[in-house]
Amino acid sequence: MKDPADSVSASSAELAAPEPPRAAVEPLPSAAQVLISRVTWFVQLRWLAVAGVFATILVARHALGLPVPGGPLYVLACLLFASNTCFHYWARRLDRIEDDALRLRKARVFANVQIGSDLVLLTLLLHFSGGVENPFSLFFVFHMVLASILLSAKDSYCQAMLALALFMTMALVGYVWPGAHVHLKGLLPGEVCRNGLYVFAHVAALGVTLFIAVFLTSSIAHRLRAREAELREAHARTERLVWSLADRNRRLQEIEERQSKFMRVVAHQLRSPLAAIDSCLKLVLDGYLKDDRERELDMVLRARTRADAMLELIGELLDLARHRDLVREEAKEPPANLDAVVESVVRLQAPVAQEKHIELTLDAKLGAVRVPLSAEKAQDAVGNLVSNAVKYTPAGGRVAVRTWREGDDAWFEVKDTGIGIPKEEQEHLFTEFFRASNAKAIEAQGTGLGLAIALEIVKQYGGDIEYESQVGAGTTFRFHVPIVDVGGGNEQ
Amino acid sequence: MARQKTILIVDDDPDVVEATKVVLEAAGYAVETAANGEAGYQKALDVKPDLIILDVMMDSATEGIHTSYKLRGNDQTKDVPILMISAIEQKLGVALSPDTDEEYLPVDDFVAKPIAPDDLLAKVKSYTEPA
Repeated sequence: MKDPADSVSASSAELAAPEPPRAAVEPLPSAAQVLISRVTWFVQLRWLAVAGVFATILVARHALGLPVPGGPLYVLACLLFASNTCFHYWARRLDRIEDDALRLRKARVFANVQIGSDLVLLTLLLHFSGGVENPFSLFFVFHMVLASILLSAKDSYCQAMLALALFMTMALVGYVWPGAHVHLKGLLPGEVCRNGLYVFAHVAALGVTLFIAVFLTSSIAHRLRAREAELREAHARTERLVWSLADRNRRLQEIEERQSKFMRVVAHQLRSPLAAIDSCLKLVLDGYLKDDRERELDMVLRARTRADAMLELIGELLDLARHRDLVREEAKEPPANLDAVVESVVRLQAPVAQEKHIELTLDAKLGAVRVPLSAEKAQDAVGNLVSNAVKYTPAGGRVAVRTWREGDDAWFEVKDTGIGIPKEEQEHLFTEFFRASNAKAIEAQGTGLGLAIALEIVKQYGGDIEYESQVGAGTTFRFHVPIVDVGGGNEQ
Repeated sequence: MARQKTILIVDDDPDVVEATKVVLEAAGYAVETAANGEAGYQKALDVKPDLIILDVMMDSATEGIHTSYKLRGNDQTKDVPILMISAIEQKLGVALSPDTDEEYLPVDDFVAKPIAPDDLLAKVKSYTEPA
């Protein structure tokens, strides 16, 4: 009979591991990417600062007439320009690092170096342009704001301490060594750098301002970073959800395809016997065999046999569908005593075995143990395996059935000395409608659904059916299911 | 007296084979049978039939198709007319019409299943007793 070798595989899908779909959600930049883009922006901002320093020196010297030393100031401005050029290339190198964690660490170091370098240059610029007299000491605050945005709170406070230390050093140098101080004549009356109280107040005020600036900005930055982290987590959850949905869609599509394929196979399996019945009966009705009564009767009997086979096939298809039903009907039925079911199956097969002079034996060792299957499901699973063993064992052979307990599992095994299954056909063993070539030679009729049904039942309880087979030597099938009750209760 | 024509039926369904055989023998043809593609191919080489009736699906979904290609590839059988038994709505993945330019099945005609005796006899006659 027709037996499409490419028909669908048995039971629920055991799909290969899914591949992640292409990104449906735009990925968020990582923390490293965000920091690098900010320090790069900082580098670009510094070009404006360079221009500003040059412009300020020019205005101070030539427009305002302040007696600031052009040489050192222009050298410092050039140093600022040179350092920013280095920072520019450093930022580009950072971008090329592939390891995100390493990139983040190096970006933090980069940000610290930039800010530290700016603080030193700002201090030197202030020293050569009036020191504590220069109102641009307020520019330290900008660096604290930037540090709080780019760096952690700890690093920001360290930068604040560095700024305060540098300013204090500059103020002390001016106080202790007046020759080093550049007095801005005309800006302030007298050289306040020699006024200890003024110097102390200025340093204290700047220090408090720097630390308050770091505190306030860090607090806000911390909240922003927390929000960023929440956003990143929400994004990751969305991405996982999208991936999961895409995967489920793909599985649903695959299930739909398998169902369509299964329906085509079932339709073919039903149509073939119907076509044969039609052909046989048409001969009788059209009078082709009106002169051959015996052959006429043979045609009718053939039609009848095929009709019976169709009924058996439809019955097994309904069994398969019922066992696949997602509604766990067995929750309403009591767990079966597996030994009782096996004994019942062996009793049913005994007459068939006797007729073929097959030695059918049973060694049942589970006793009162119960399994989560209903009696009906256990009967279907065990019945299919034992009936196959008897059917495909030649006369004079042996079929040995046994049950036993291993740990928390109940085991069942049927071992025959039958025709065996060709090795190259074993992979299709549990495929719906599959029948081995040598099985078809012995028994032309057969639905090919018995093993698929047995496997479907066993898998529902987390088990699997193992087998060994050799052509000409026989086949062994065994499965295990968990034990739910070790004893007591009424026998089934 | 005209030579009795021989028809070879290649189909794994014994009931369909028997029913078809009755119809053909009643029409005066000698009938040989084979239950699968390989046996059918060998029998075609042995008996050299005047027509082959070939089922599409036997042990595999496309066994009939492969057998038809084998028959067409052998000089001894390449000119034997082939009637392929198939279901009309069957999708086999190959074009079934010889009018298609691309790949097509190298058979001469098709017979729908279930086989109608009159239709079968008309087609068999047209290929074994050409005008």
